[in-house]
Amino acid sequence: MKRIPIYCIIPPHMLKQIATNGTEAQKKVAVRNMVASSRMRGQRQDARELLALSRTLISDIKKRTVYNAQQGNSLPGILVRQEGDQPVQDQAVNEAYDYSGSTYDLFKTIYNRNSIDDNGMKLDSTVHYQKGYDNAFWNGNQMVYGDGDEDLPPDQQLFNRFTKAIDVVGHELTHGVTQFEANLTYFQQSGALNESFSDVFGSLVKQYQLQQMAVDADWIIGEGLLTENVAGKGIRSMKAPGTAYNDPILGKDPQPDHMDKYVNTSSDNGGVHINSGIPNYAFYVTATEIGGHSWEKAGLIWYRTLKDKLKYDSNFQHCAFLTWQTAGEQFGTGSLEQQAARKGWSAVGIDATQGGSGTPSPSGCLPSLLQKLGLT
Amino acid sequence: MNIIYERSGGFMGTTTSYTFNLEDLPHEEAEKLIALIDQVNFHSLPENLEMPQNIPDQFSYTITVESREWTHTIRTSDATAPQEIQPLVETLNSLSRSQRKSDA
Repeated sequence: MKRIPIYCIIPPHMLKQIATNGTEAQKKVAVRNMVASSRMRGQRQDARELLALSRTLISDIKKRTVYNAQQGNSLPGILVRQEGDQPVQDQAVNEAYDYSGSTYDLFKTIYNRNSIDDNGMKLDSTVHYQKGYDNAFWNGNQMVYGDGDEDLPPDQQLFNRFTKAIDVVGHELTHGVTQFEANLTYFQQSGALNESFSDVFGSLVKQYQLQQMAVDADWIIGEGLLTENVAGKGIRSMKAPGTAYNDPILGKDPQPDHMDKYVNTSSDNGGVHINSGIPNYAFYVTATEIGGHSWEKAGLIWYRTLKDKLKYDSNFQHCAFLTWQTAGEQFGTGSLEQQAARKGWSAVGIDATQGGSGTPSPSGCLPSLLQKLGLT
Repeated sequence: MNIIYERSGGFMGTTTSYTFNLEDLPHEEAEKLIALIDQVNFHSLPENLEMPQNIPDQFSYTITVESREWTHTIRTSDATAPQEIQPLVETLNSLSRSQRKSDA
């Protein structure tokens, strides 16, 4: 994993000089550092103004690169496809390439976001990670995908390769977006929100690709990942949490759909993949109440909340309040959209008109750095 | 020798746990595991090989080895497992997954 640079060591006045007087390449690096530094200090307004400046320097184009780990552990692996290259024979490579492009397109076209960091960050993927790796993850810098159960006899295979599902790719990339925005701590309720936002935008990438109306989408996360040996539709259901699978080997989908069924556990970082069912269902209800395409209004409310309002330790109540507030600001107090957001959270047992907890982001370079490293 | 292998997290967020008694495994597999444990001086590895900030969707692993002379547990994850223990983690992963069908 790459070392995370400490952007705040070079003072802002020096960076500003470089951004004004440097070469094009120097300007880009300086602005990038200033954006990152502002984000670390929790100064979202400064970061936004700098991003506006950076847009004049950094072009809004996709920069995708796919690597092959060749069933090993070393990242990123061997370069196999770059931006603009023709498709290759390896399906996993083409899926990682195409679906990260689809994810970029949704965020750029609908939300005017230039890549994961809103600053043209390149989209790196590694496929064929390890042997028999039935998983995918975002490591802070890139996406990593396994091939599922390719090493087992066909009758024992439960998982296909993890690039097969477009929403899985969207899910992983959205972890990157969250990292650069609210940076929700990956533990308990804030972690479940982190997971939920990834499922929400993963599903929206799929729905956008298919140009589906909210009512016509399947709202299944990871449809196509499970082999025919598994009794299940996918990994999670946003429409009906707890019903995605019920299998003698995998067990039953453990997700709750209401706060009354919230799961208190020490596993899975406090149940981040389990309790995400609650905010997932809230989004599903909101989107179907509003109708039309989910990405246009419900997705916009959720995106703006993630980008401008959520804190690293926001809980479900706080998120509910912020989405309700954002819906009112975006579409009007008492609007259909705001009522839909309230209804969505009410369906899971949360009154969205009530504020929740979420401590202010720390100010100052050292507190921000310590928070980012998880040492506070 | 017993090995208790637990894997949690991942995209699905599920936890699976297996106990392997090496006397019950095929000889070749048992020898391979013993060799992997010896190679890394398992009993002297740090207990905590995880990062303070969790990486989304990665697997976390808790591995306990109980030999006649010592018992030791380590916790690690996909992004933090040192290169030298990754063959052990992969072997245990492969073994546990091939056990899934027979336990059903």
